[in-house]
Formats: sequence, structure tokens, C-alpha cells
Amino acid sequence: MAALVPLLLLVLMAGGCTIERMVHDDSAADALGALDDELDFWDEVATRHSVTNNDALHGLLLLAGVSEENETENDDISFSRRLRLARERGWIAEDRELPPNETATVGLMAMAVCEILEIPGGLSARVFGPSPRSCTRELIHRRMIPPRTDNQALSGLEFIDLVGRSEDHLGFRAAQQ
Amino acid sequence: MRRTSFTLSLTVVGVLAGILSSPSLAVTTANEARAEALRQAAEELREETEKQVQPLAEGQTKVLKAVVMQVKGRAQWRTDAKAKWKKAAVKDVLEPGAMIRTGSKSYLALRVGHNASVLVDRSSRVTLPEIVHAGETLRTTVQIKRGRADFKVDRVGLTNDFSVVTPSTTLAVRGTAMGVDYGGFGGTKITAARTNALKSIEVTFLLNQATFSMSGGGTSSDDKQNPVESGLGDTGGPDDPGSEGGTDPTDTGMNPENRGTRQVDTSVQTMMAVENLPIFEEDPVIPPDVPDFEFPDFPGLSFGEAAEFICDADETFSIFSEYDFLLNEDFPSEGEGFSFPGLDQLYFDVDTFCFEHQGPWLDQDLVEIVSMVQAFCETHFTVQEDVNLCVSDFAEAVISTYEGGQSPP
Repeated sequence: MAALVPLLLLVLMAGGCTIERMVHDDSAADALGALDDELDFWDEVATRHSVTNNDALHGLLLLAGVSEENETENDDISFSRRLRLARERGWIAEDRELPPNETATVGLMAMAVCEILEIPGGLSARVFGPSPRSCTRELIHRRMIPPRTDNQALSGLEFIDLVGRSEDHLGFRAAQQ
Repeated sequence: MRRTSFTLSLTVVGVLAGILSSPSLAVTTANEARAEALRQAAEELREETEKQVQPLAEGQTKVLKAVVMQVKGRAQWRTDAKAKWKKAAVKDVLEPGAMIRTGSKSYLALRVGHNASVLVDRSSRVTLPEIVHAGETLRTTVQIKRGRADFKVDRVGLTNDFSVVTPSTTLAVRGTAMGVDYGGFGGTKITAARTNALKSIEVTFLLNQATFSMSGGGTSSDDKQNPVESGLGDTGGPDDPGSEGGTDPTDTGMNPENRGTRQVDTSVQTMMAVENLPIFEEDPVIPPDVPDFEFPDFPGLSFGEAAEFICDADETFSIFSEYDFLLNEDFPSEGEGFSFPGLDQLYFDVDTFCFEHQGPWLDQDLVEIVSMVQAFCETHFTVQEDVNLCVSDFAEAVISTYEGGQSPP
């Protein structure tokens, strides 16, 4: 059995250590993506044990106030539109695919929060640009999230907590200006 | 405009009385006689309020209600779990059992019963299961399902039994101001209450009601059904031309309708000048929040167990030594014993509380200790930011002692 271990490791390395992320049947934002449904959206997200990409983007765009700017247009924005807005803001790389109902990563949410709160980050981020890992570390350093890796997920309640803390940070920062 | 039969909630008026008579909000206009008249009127209002909040007969209970004082952004409420959500509006009346929810960048402020104000913050779900006046006790329960709410519980001459319930704990808030936050990351946290914001909302709501009742066809000079209510307007006195009250200099004060309105405006303007309260704007400016202090769930400990840890004889001195060190780092001072002034007394008070404690350690025991620390900090600092830092230092001292093991000097 011990002799098989190196072989197994070789197979894993050749195949790449990819982690399959969980895929939900749907997202809260599918039916509750309109601005008027915001409170129902948060109630539904709070019941979820992990947040999907679609829900994460919708919640983060609400935090950024982007949805409000487009209120006169189609309120019920689709995932493709959310994805485009997220790419425009630099939350996601242009070439990265993002399945809507796949569990969102902490790194994705951290990138968005760092951009919204205009957190400059440490030396690496300032030199090489922000990355999911550096933004995650920055949020941990600021005690906005507990120690997590950028590949982990957030539950619905945790995501709401992060959005709330980000809002507090925005409010406090606005008062300083 | 016809004067509606609007009755000031005298408990809300009592809030104004309390605020106006607070030394920290002393009116400091050039016209001291007017200021003194305002204080007298406030005191009369307070006395009138206390008449309203009398104990009931033993065994007698009265169900109370909550009224919405202010709403910002998206906020809804419903009467129970089966009812439809309604958009919240100022002066909505909520009965026990009502559920409230707020969206992002939104809040809702309530006056609850006779003695409390509650500020339901962004992205929160809160329920009001119980608001009761029972005998000599005002019993209120607020349930936070998620999010944050700030509480200001006033002393109105009866016993306060105000409980805050979260999914992980139950806390008692007694005659004080406190914030409670329940989130996905930190569980339950005790935080500083935004008392500035709450007071601003209370006064704004109250004075909007006062103005509404005064500026009708029947004025204070003609319709003194409640002389105490009119007292606030009467003591304002006629304006000097060109004064900050902004009145018509040709008005000699003979027109009773104008006099009633103008007198109230004068009183309000006087307070506005001092407190800089934008009373007639739709969205009053809320003073910026300072960083909260937080008492989070300790890793592996409930609040009650944290209180027990603080009161462990071997740990109390270590905690206060660390606290002294942190306070002197943040606020350099000199002294003997614990070098930070007054810390000896706080140590004695906490030690006495611990020594006299009987029975199991409950979550509100930690609230009691935090309240003592908060009171200590409030005697030393006038700036809210310093108060919060002072309390945060105590939290940090406790956590540091718990996690690292602090040996006494």
C-alpha cells in the first residue's frame, strides 16, 4: 500500500489538484433579483449554507450601489449583466468563467469588497495589483472576516455579516472625508 | 390647517425633558433667561411624564406598543409571521409580536413602550415579542435574528426588565445604552450604542410632533388643554427683531395664532442653535459613528463563562494589570497603585461584584461588568471615541489574559 502513495501523488500532480466546487440548484437572485425584492433576497440568502456566485455578485453590487444607478433600466438584471459589471470593476478576471450557481469563493468576495472600500492593500497588492489572496488577507487583517483561505466559501449569514461590516466601513469612511 | 387632536406621547416628551436637563446638553445661548425657562418647562414635562408612568396594581398588566420614529432606506414590518410585509413609515404603531426587517444602507428607529428607544440597523431582522407594563415593571423583549440593534433604556421610575435575545444568548439591558450585534462570523457581540444618533432621532421626532400640534388653528395661547404642553411654547417669549428665530419684526405679538407658532419655533430655534439639530429637514444629519467597542463571543466561551473568568480571583488582578498597561499606552497618565486614575476603584467595584455573585454565571453578568467599565470610562472621557477605546482596552485585556496567560507583575 505504501508503494502506491508516490504513484497516487504523481497522478494527482499530473491531473492538477483541482477542487470541484459545490453547485446549487438555483440562486436566491434568480427570483429575487429586482431592487424591490431586496429584503426578500437577504432573507433567502440568510437561509443558505453557502452563497452562490450569482447571489454574491447581486449582494456586492447592492453594496456598491451599482444596481441603484441602473434602477431606471431593467431592475431584474440577469447574471450575465452582473458578471459584466463585476468584470468592469475588476472583481473578476476577463477570461475567468463563473458558473452562476457555483459556490462563490472568499477570494472573489474579498476582491469586490477591497474595490468597493478602496482598500489599497499591502506592498504586493500595490506593486502587482490586488489578487483574491491579497484581498482576503487584507480583510482578515482588518478583522472584517475571520481567518479564511481565498478558496473557501461563506454561508449566507456570513456573507450578510461581511456586507454589513463593509457598509459600516463605508459609513465611517464617509464621515472622515 | 385644522389642529388635529394629536396628543404628545408624554413618555417621548419625557425623553426631551431628560435630554434638555442633562448637563451635557445645557443651553448656552446669550439669552440665559430663555434658557432657564426652557429648563423649567422641561422639568415640568418630566414631572408630567412621571405622572403617566405610575405602577399598576399588583397582578395588573397592560400591553404597550412601539411607534416608528424614523426610517431610512428599505425597512418593512409585519404584525406576525403570517402577515404580509408593509413598508415602514414614521408614526406606524407596532404591537407586540411585530417583526421588522431592514435592507442594506437602511435603518429604522422605534420608541418602544414607555422607556426605550431601539435603532434597528442595516440588514437586520428583529422581532418585538413582548412589550408589557406589569405592576411596577416595564418588561420588554427584543429578539435579534440577525444584524444589529442599539438600545437606549431610560429610567422612568419603574423597574426596567429589558431583554435582548439572539440565537446564541439572552442579555439584560438595565437602565443603560448598549448595542447588540448578531452575525454569521462573530455570533453575538456587545457593542457601544450610538446614543448620539438615538438622541438626535428622539428629539427630531418629538419636536416634529410638537410643531405639528402647535401650528394649527388653535394655538397655545387659546387652547391650553394641557398647560404643561403649552409651557414649552409660552416660555419662549417674543422674539427680538432680527433674532435667530427669524420672525417678522413687524409682528408685535398681538396675533395669537402667530404667537403660538412663533413661540414654538423660537424654542425650537434656540435648541437648534445650540444643538445644531436640523429639525425641519427630511433626513436629519446623524453624527458620524465612532468605532464601536465590541465584546465578541470568546472562543469556546459563552458570555457567562467569560464573566466567570473575569471574576476568577487569580485572573482579575492580571486582567486589570493588563488593562492598566493598555490604558496608559492609549491615554498616558500618572498615579499610584494601578497607575491610571480611578482604576483602583473600578477594580474594587468589579471585585466586589464578583465576590457577592451567587448562583450560576449568566450572560448578563458580563453585561453588568461591561456596564461598570463603561461608566468608569464615561467619567474619564467626554469624547465618545475615547470612551469606546477605553472599553475596548478592557476587552483586549480580558482576551489577552485568556488567550495568552498573563502573569501578575
